[in-house]
Amino acid sequence: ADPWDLCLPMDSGQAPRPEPAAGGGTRIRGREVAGDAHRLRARGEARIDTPARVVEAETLDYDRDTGVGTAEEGVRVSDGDTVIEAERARVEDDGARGELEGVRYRILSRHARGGADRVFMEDRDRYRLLGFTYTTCDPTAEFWRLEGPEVRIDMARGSGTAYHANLRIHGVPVFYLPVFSFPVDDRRKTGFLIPRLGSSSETGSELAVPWYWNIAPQYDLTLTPRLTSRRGAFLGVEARHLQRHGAGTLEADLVPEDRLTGGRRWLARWRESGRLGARWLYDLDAARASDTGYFEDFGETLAVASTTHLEQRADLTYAGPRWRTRLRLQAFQTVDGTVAETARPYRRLPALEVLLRNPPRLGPLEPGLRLEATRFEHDVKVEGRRLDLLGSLAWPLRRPWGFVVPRLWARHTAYDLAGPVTGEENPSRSLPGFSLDAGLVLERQTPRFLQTLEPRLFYLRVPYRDQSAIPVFDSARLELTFAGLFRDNRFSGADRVGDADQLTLALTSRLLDADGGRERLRASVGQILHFRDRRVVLPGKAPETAARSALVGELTAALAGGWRVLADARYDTETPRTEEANVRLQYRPDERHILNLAYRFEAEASRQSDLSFRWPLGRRWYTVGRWNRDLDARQDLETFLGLEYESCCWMLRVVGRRFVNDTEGDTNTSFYLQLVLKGLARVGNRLEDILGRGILGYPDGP
Amino acid sequence: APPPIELEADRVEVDDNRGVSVYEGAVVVTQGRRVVRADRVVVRNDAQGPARLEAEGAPATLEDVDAEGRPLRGEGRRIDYDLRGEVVVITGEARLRQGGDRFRGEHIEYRIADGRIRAEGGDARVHILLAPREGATGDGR
Amino acid sequence: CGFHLRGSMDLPPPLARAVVTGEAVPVELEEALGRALRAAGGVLAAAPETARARIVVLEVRNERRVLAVGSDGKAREYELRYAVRYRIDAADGRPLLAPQQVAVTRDLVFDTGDFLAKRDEEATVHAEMVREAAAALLRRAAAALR
Repeated sequence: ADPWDLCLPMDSGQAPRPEPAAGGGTRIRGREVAGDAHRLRARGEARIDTPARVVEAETLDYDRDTGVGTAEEGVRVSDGDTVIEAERARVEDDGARGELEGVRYRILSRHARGGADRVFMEDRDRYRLLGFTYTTCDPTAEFWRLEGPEVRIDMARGSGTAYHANLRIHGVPVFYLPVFSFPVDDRRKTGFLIPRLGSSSETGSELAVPWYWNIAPQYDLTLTPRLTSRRGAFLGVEARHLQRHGAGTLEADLVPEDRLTGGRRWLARWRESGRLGARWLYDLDAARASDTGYFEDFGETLAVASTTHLEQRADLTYAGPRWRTRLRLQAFQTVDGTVAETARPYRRLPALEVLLRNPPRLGPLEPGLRLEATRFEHDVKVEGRRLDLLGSLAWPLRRPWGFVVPRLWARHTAYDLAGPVTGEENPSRSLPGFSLDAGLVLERQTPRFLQTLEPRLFYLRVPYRDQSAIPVFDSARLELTFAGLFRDNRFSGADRVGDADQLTLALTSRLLDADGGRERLRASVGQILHFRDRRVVLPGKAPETAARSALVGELTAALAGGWRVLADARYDTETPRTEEANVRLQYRPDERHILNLAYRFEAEASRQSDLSFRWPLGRRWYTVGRWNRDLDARQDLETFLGLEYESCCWMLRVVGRRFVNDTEGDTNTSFYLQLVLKGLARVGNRLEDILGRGILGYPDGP
Repeated sequence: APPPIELEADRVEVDDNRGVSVYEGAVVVTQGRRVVRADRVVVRNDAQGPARLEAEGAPATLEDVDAEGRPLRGEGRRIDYDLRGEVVVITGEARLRQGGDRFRGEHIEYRIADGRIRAEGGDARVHILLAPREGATGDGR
Repeated sequence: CGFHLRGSMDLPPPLARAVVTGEAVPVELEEALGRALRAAGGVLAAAPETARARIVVLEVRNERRVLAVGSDGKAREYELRYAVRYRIDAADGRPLLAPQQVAVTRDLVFDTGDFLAKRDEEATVHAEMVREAAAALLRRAAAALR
């Protein structure tokens, strides 16, 4: 949606685009032009078009040898987007550089305008304005204006930096900003924060003064010192770099001395990914906090407050033509005090995976090969090294109307254990496996849709192997979903390979748009028939004896009028009871209306309802809200309600919010006020994260 | 003194006592390297000889080399050449090409001695296309 | 009731021999597209020059949102969303299919039992989402280009 659609239309008629002569020469027009091969004077609607800009005036002098053009009274300089009217102008190097005095300017694409005593055009994209004003408001309703002795605007990098600037709201000076950077285009979605006043029961009232430093086109740094009444001083750091081969960000929150607990506390996350040449890729994501209570004390938004583990992971991948090899280092920091020592995850230091990527065809057969060698480390539990080899051979028979894919595989896994070993030090397991995946595709044309009916069966046979001597490093029972009906192991990882003699029966139907093949609706249902009990289990669990798995269903639909449905459920036909059900309904007829309704049920675990909306009241007012309730505990997990008023160049958001933020179920109640100066900055609390996370589809605003 | 003038045409009418001769039909006037081609040329003489040419054509054309040795080419419905003042005036959809530069307007004056040009647009505007300067990066970087 | 076996799903000529290009195409997406092409009877061209169509991956988004929170304030369920924006050009660069997007959403229950196993389960679910996105992308492209 155009963020400026509430403004008066900006007259773009007077923003002539440069029409240079062919080959980048200069075009001169005027009622009368006189001079010689070196100097020309044009008079009467005079106009010079150079590749960079257009200069128009009553009288124009142009020196061909130096490319300098000068003009007096009634001068207009334009590049088709930035239009500058000036009393005097001197333009050099054929319009690339120049100096103008007594200026009024408009930047059409940014809906920005203002004035300046002097403007220096340093090159095609960079301007320096002395004695400037800058606003994105309509002339008739100038809600805010930034003014000061100097601002530098870099259209290529899409940012402006003002020095000793004053922000005036309705003419009243509100902020003095020694150095202040602001976005001059929408590339930087977040825009920049300027001094932020806010409150939350965790940190009390707080004042934040962000400082942004555009170090170089590829590097930038944002430092945000924050003074809080209850916790003392914070320093927020965000360093970013973007190069051709890769990009990275370092985010950190530092609390030198937390007044409440007295300690030094911090949270940092470093992400880095990119390519080294055509085939080598690296990906790093490492987060760490100073102590386990960090999130409960400082987690501003619900999601951050509920992180239980921080992952530190580094991958180096070689994507060869035939094989993909990945070396991974992976460790975790548990930041949830309630997680017992023995429940803490293992560390993979390292894990090497080699995977056959583009299998060669051996006649009709398609081979598969995967090798993984991993060293597992743990503070208290048994440690060890594991080698896992999986070789497979498939015979895919595919036709447009169906497929049959028999697949035979063999897997060998060997361990070398250390530390508190209870049984053998070198257990191992070898077993074959067989699966047959077959399906048909039936179609019929209905008036508006192409409907498909896709029956599918999946037979899996894996012999039983006693795996009780094998420790559990990374295996867990996978949750049964529709996709899970077609997996060849009911456990994740390699420490448990589930024995199986089962047949999955499933049916999927799709409604596809006749023209674009866009899927309007997909409904699937399926169930596994077990011909044998499943004896391979995780320690402490009983064998599974049910003759049939739960009936698993999935529905996704995008209907006319902006309705979207997302639902899935598991229904236990034996008991019978519903094990799990999830329904999400979204109504979004257009950009301005959003309504989400969700119901989540998991037997003996949780029952939740979740309502969220952003609804307009007329053209300028919006209500926003969320009510997420735990129906079993009869407790509201997150509730917020707010109002937004939007005008041409500013928006005010007021939100009251309460959310659960720690294990005892204590809640954090906060009141948020945010003033958005469209195209310049946000004053007040960071509401985008809260609204964006709470309301599915909330636009990440101007 | 300026080089002599030679004229060719299909027909000539000479009026000695008024010192005027009118050449018509594929008229070519050559003066050294300067050549005027037109359908009709009126030559007015003074004591020393031809002093003024008035050429008309659809269009009448002028070829010349300017003081800095660049090729010059003018055309228009009428070209008046004042040999004494060494000024050429092109009127009526006047075009003048000087090296890489091109001038367009209703009335273009060109002084041969120093290459000064003056153009007027009449009701429209004069339109000038200048060849790119050497060393002009165009974006100032 | 009118259902009949699907007739020809053989890919429209350009897609029969395609190549995947784009700024930073994730490895697993390229492999999934290759598998989906082979499953539909096409082939992933080894060298871009020999391809008859280019699947240009414009943007890949991996989103992870907290969907449900337990009564202890800890995240219980995440919503994973995998979205691919792409367009399809002919070998000579002529656009065949305007930029569009396929997206796959999955929910993942996250009891904090064994976090490492959960991360692996998330990787398994992610791989299934990539495969489904590749199949949907190809199905949409085949229908549009037929």
